[in-house]
Amino acid sequence: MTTRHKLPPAGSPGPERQIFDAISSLQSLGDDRDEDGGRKIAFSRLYAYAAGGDGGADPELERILAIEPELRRDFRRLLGKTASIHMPRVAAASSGEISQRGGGNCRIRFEPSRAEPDQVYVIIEFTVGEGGLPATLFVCDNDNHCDKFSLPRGRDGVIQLLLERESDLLAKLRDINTEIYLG
Amino acid sequence: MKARVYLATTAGPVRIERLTRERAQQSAVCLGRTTKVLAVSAAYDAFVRQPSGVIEREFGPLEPGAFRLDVDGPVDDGESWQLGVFAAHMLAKDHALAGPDEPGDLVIWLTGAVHNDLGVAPVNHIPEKLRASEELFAALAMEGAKVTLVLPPGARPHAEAGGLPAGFEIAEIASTKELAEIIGAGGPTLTAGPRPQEPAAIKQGPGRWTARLMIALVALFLLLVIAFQAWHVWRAYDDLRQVADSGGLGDLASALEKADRSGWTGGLAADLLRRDLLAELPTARDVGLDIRERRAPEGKSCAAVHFGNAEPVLVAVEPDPDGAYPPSDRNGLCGLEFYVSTDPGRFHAETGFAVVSGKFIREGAVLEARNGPLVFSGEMAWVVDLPRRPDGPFAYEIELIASRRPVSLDLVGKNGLKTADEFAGLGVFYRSIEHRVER
Repeated sequence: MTTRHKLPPAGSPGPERQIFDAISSLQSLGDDRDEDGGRKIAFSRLYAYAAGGDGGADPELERILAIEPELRRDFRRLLGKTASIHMPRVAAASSGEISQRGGGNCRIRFEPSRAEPDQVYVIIEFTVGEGGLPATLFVCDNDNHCDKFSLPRGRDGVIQLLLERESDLLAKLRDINTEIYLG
Repeated sequence: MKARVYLATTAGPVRIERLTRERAQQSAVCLGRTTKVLAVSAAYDAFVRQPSGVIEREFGPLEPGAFRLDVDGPVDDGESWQLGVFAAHMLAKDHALAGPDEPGDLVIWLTGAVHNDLGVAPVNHIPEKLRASEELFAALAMEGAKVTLVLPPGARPHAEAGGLPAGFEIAEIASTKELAEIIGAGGPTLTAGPRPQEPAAIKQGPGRWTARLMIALVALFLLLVIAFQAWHVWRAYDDLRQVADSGGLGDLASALEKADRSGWTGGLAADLLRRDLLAELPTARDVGLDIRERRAPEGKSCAAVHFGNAEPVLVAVEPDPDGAYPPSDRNGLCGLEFYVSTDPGRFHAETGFAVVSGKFIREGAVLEARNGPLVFSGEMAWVVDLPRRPDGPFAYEIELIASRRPVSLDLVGKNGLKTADEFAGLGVFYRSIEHRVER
C-alpha cells in the first residue's frame, strides 16, 4: 500500500517546512566538525549553554569554544537566534570611555559610585514589559569569543550590577567593539 | 555628635558603616564596601522607594538616585533590620552616622520592623540576637561606650533577663518618633531645627542680679537668633551644594529658584552658591573642540584613505564669527575627524554626537545613529568616514558639557536648559554645534 502525504502549497513555507529547516540548521550546527577530526558538540549542549541561564554553565564547552573558531562562529549565530535582546557595536570610534550604550529596546548606563570611586554601577534598563527580564548576558568580541555572565534578578524593568572599575566584564561592556546579547 | 548603629541578627551584630546617595537606579546593601550586593537589597529598595517605602517619604525630597548601605556583615531577609536602617537614615541625614573608623559618642543596637505608618512591630529571635551580641556588649562595656538597645514593644523582658553590662540602657518603642527622641537624647541632632540651647544661667533663675541678667538674656537671645539664621543659611547652602554635586542640572536650577522664593536666608544661600559656581566655571580655553575634514590626497581616492593606504589631507573646519560652522563641500571629502580636549584632572566633560541625517561608515559597515546620541566622557577623538554614494546631506550635532563637578549629558534636555548662559549660571560650560556636509 502506498501512503500519500499532502504536500504544502507552493509559495510561503508552511509550519512543516519551517520545522524541517530549523531541524536541518540545528543538525548542521552540531555535526559539521566530526569529519575533520574536530570535537563533536551536540546542538542541545550548545543550546543549553546559550539559553540555559545559570543552569547552562559548561566550563568544558567554554574551553572548546576558546580554541575552535568555527564552533565559535556557529555559537554566535545561535546566540543571535536565541537571545531576546541584541546590542550592536557602538557606532563610532572614540578614545574616551562611553557612559552608555543602547539597542534592542534596552540601554546600559555606567554610573561611577560616589561611595567607592573604584566601583561602577551598570544599569541595564529595558523599555519593554517586565514579563521576562533576561537572566544571562553574553559579551562577544570581533573573533566571536563570547563571555557569559549571570545577571541578578531585575526589578521594575531594571537590572543593576555593581562592578569593580578594573573588572573584565566592565571593560568588555564599555568596549565599543563588543556586541551584547541578553537572554 | 555621632552614633554607631548595629543591626541585631542571630548570627551576630552587623554594623552599618556608611550610607551614600548614589546615581544608581536601585538601592542596595553592600558587604564590607565591596561590590558584593546582599540579597536583602531588594527588600531594602522596597523599604526606601516610594510609594510603598518609608525612607524617601520621610527623609525626602532627595536628589535623583538610590541609596547604598554598606554593612560589615551579612543581613538575612526578613524585617528586623528595618528599625536599625531607619535609625541610620535618620542619623545620616544630619551627618551623624559614625563611619567604620569613628567610635562615635553613642552606640545603638536595634531590632524591629517598621510599618508604613512608622509604627515599630515585634520581631522574632530576640534572645538569640542578644546572645549573639554578647561579645560586642562586653567590648563596648570595656570601652565605656554609651549604649542603648532599642527594641520593639514587648521585648524588654528578654533584654533584662539577658544580664546586660551595667550602664546599658534599654528602650522599648512603638513608633520611630520615639526613636528620634532616644537618639537625640544621646547627642546627635535629628530634628529639622536646632535643639533649644538653654544656658546654665537660665536654669538657675534670675537671682538678685535681675537687671544684669535680663541684659545678658537679651544679648543671648539676639546671639541665638543670629546663630539660628546663620545656621539656616548654612543648611540651605549645604542642601543646594548637595544638589549641585549630584550633577542634576535641572534639579539645581529648580532648587535655586525655590531657594530664592523661600525667604532671605534661602536667597542668600542661593547667591552664595551661584558665586561659587561661577568661580568654578570652565572657560572656552579649558575645553577644546576641533573638527577637521579628511580629504583624499592628490592622485588618490577616498577608498585609499578609508583602507589606510593613503594619509588624508586634513583641513580644519573653522566657525564663522557668530560661532556657526559653514557646510563642508562633499566633493573629495572622505570623512571628518573630531577631537575634544580638556584637563581630566580638573574637569569632568562629556560629549554627545548625534547624526541628524545621512549615513557614515565604520570598519566597512554603513551605519546610522539609530539609538540616540553617542555619549563619551573625558578626552576623546573619533573619525567618521563618509560613503562614496551618499543618499543625501550628512548632518550632525555635537553637544559638549564640562564642569568641575561630575555632570552628565544624560541630565541635559530634561530640564529646559538651552543656552550657554543658562548652563554657565550653574557652573557648567556648554557648547552645542551643528554642521553638515553637502554638495
